[in-house]
Amino acid sequence: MTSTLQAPAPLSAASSGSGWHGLILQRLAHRDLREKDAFAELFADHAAARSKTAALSSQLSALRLEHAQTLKVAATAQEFGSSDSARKFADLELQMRQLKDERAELYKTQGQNAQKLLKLMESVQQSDGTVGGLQEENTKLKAQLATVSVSLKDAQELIREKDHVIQILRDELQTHQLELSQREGQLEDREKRVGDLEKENKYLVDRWIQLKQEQAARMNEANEYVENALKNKATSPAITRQHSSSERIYDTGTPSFFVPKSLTRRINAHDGEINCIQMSPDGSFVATGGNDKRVILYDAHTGGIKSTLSGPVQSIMSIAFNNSSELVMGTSNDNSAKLWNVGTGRLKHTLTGHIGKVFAAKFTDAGRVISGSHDRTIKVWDLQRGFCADTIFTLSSCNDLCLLNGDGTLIASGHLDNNVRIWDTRSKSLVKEISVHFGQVTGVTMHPTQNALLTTSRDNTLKLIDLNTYQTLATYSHDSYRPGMNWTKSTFSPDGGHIASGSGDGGLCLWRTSDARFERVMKEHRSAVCGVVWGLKNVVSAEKDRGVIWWGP
Amino acid sequence: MQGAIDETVAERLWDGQVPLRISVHPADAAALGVHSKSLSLYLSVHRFSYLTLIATDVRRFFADADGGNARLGEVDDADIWFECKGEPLKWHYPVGLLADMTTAANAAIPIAPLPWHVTVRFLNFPADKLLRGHSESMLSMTSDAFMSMIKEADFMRNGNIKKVMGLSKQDQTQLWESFAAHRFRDFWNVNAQLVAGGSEGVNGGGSYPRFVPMRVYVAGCAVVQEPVSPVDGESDHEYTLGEILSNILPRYYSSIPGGQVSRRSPNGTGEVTTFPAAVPILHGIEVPPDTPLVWLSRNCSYPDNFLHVVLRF
Repeated sequence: MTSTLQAPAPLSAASSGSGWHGLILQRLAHRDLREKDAFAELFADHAAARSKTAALSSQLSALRLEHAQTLKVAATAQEFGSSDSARKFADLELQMRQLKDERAELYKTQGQNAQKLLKLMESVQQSDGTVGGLQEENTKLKAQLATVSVSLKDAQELIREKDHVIQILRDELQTHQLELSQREGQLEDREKRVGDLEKENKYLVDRWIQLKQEQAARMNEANEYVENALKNKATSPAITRQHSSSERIYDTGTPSFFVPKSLTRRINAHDGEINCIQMSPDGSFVATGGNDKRVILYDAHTGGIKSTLSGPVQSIMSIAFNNSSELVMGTSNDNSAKLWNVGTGRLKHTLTGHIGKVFAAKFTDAGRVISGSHDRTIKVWDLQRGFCADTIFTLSSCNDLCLLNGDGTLIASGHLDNNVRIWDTRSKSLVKEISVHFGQVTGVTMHPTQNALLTTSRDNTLKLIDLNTYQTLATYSHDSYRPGMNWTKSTFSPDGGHIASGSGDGGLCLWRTSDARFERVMKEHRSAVCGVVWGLKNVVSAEKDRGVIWWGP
Repeated sequence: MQGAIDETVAERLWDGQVPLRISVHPADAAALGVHSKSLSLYLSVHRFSYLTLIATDVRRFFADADGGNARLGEVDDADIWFECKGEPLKWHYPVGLLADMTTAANAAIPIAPLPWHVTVRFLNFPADKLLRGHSESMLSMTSDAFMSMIKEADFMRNGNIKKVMGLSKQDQTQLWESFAAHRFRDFWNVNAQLVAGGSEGVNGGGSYPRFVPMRVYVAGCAVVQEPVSPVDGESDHEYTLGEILSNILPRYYSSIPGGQVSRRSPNGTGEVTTFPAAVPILHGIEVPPDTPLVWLSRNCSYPDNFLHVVLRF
């Protein structure tokens, strides 16, 4: 093995004949000799022979083709040379002559046919012309037909549209007619109702006239009676409304009262602001009410607190006593008015029904209460039955009201809209509207003679109004006078000769009624004065900031 | 030294030819109406060539020789196949290998009669035995088979096919086209990159491939392809062809000259009989058993870079 491994060393020498390498070369050479070289020439010759054969075969096929053609030519030539053919020839000539004759005849017919053809052509041309004209006409007509049919279609469409519109219009007309008939029915109803109403109106007017006449008759009767009475006691200078004169108002003389000059007592009893003050008609009690929701009763002479009345759930806005001084009433911002027994201090009535703050209420002689509220109504309450008897619509919030006669059939009310209104509570009708102020009317007070009305207004004036003529008798004002609240109330002296009213700066102003002279201002209060009462023996005023002051001469 | 190509051997192998006598099969001749039944085409074919490369020429020859046989002219090239003694010849084997196999199968006659007689057939393609191509693509199929063999060989030598894939597109094309046109220089310019190139090995300055791309064909048996290492890793001993064959086919080959092998006789009796050792045939010659495998692989491989060794009994 090792010797064979060394054998590849002389590889570069290809001629090396020893070992496996030489053996391989030798065998390869031998192989080639046998397989390749032996056949090389043979195969070359074979290829040459092959190509030669191919050439020869193509040549052969060409020659064959030629041969076949030649054979065909030879066959035709043979055919022509036979005796049969001569006879055939003669036949053919005869045939030829006959055919020539036929041809001549045919030429003739052809000529005639040509002539005929020309004529026909002419007529064809003519008919062509007519046909052309007809076609032209035809196309024209077709075009016309098309336009006509188009316009017809348009027209049909138009008609259809119009039909539609007509249908709509008809429908509308129908609905309108229906509506018209309904309206006519309604109109008839209305007319009937109008007739009814007119009848009713007439009836009512008649009744009203009758009533008025009755009233007038009664009034005349009463007047007659009064006149008779007056005549009977002609010596006494009685105060009557019928014969009152402005002079009389100013000189009623009951001397047993005094004009306040100085402070005698000051009491601070309330826990909140005081809104109102009132004195009982018999002069024995003074009552104040305020934001602490209580009414406090004082002994008018000693100033001692008699009782404290509570119950309302909002501020007390006004207080009133009844004529016998047994009942005291407080009206409240809680839309109610409450009545207490003065002696026992027990709550007796609660009048609910207003839907706004109740700013004022008064007792009448007839056991009724009349209240005015910011809900723009005045209500009349029956104390026996304990509920609202009447409601008067006043058009404006009522700040204060007062009775013009004892039974409360005529009342005056002061309003937020600067007006004072006189009402008849029985007919619930407005008697008179008095527009003299330029600020809201905070209080209305009756003159003791019951002939004149004192109004307090936030236009910083007080006015005295004659209740017969509704003329302003006097106007009271001063630089220092400026009412402090929307519910400031003024008062007359018991004889009606003086007027007292509190100002917003705490001053208590005094005027003389007759000539409207300002007398003096007394400054003891520290805040706005809300009201003052003037009895025979006491003059008491209350201020916003809790102080209640007794005045002395 | 071992890296160089032994051009003397290589060129001689390259030029090796086999004389063929090709005739039309009688059955086909009758079916196609070929008149010249006895006509044969004598052709000397390169041993490295493939049958598909001559198929068109063969068909044209017979078509022309028969005075323009139209039906033969219409035969699809893909339908042409060859057989020898009734056995279809694989078109993807080199012609030399086919010749060697035919010779080896004929154990009775040690030297085959020449020219080698092959029958061409135009009908009844044996699709169960041969790969069937498509018309017009026979050539590209052959080239694909050739290139895939080259890739396989490269993989066996290096464990990857970087060398083949690393060739430029032009080189790859040249490899096949120069082969098909039988241009020795152009072919080896490219093939040398695949065969001779490579890093220098640690042993004696030579580089050994991992495995030698080699197939051994035993007549009547399957093709044997084993991973054959060309060198003993421990002793640096370069194996010879004889050693390798006795390793992988001990039942057929003995490295002892004139030795015998024993195996069960193929006649089904189950007896173990002794036979004379087979002879390795390559390129039509008997290869000396002491030839080193490395040298053999480098210089005596077919152009597809495989050693196709046929064992002859």
